[in-house]
Amino acid sequence: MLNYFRKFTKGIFKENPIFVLMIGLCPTLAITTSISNGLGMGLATTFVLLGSNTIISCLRNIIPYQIRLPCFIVIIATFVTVTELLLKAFFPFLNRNLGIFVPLIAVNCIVLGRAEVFAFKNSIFKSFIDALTIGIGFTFALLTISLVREVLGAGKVFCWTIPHFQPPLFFAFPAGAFLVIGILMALIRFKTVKK
Amino acid sequence: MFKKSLILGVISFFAGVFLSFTYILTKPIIAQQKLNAEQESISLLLPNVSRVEKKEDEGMVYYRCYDNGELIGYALIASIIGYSSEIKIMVAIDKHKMIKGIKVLEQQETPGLGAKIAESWFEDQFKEKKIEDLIIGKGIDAISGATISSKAVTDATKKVIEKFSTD
Repeated sequence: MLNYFRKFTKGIFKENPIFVLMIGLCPTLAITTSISNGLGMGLATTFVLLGSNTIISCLRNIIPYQIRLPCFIVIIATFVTVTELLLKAFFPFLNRNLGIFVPLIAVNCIVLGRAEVFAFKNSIFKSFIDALTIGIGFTFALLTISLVREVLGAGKVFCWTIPHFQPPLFFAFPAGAFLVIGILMALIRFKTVKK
Repeated sequence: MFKKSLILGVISFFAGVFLSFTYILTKPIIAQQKLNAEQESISLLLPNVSRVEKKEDEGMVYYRCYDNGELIGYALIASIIGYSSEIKIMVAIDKHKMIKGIKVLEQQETPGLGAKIAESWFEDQFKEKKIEDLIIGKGIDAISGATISSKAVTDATKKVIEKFSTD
């Protein structure tokens, strides 16, 4: 059980997809302008990861090695489209904000990466846990970045506007996203290396 | 070789079935959500509306708005290309083409700049104006740093009212 717990936290800190593995940066840069967007994107990606990892792990003995990539992509794209339809039906506000980045989850390296390096080689239960931890790690990273950018770029926290504060717009732009991610990565590296 | 193609084919088939089911199940809900969003905007712009009637004329979608059987105005839907996205707006007018208000329904403009077109202070500028008053710098203040987005909304409002003939 302790082993599972350790694996569980691995995806969040030691193997955080954004801060440590540095994959899936494109949607991260684009949508972390507000906390609600970050949370929505994180949860949507986690849902896709859970679905694709589980199904790919179920089919890992059936899918031939040579055609595994097209099989992965079909399964992942299916879950992404389902997620998009569900968002449109039940969270239209979120879907409007995330826009094109919902269908683009299909090409997020994190999802394909976990299928290739984990789900294709491990049991269903392990793959499910792996998807959950990586998904939580991704959501955690998005939340951290979007919190910094929302406070600095828009002068807001969720719906509460910080009084007497003229936000430097720079942080709401892509360049600001690079800077914030870079500084956060440096901080995390600094902490882990010191250990 | 044949076996591999077959496996990919079977996976794709099941993916297709799964997708079709989700599509069929969510389709009516998505349509309803869209309608709800538009009607919510109408009741914000024209608070007295008790009943609306959706109309389509030459590719233009609009709502006829009634207050207890009396026609009090129209809600027109317009879209235009802004700075980085397609902006969809709703323009509410009365019978004499006086603007009662506008609302940005969909936009993906730059956050912090162009996205401010959806803020109420910008939308409120259009209230109680005629199309002649819609001049940036005179009747309408543009958002600093987002002239293109501001102009797009103003132009779209002007165009859709010009094109619309009260029926």
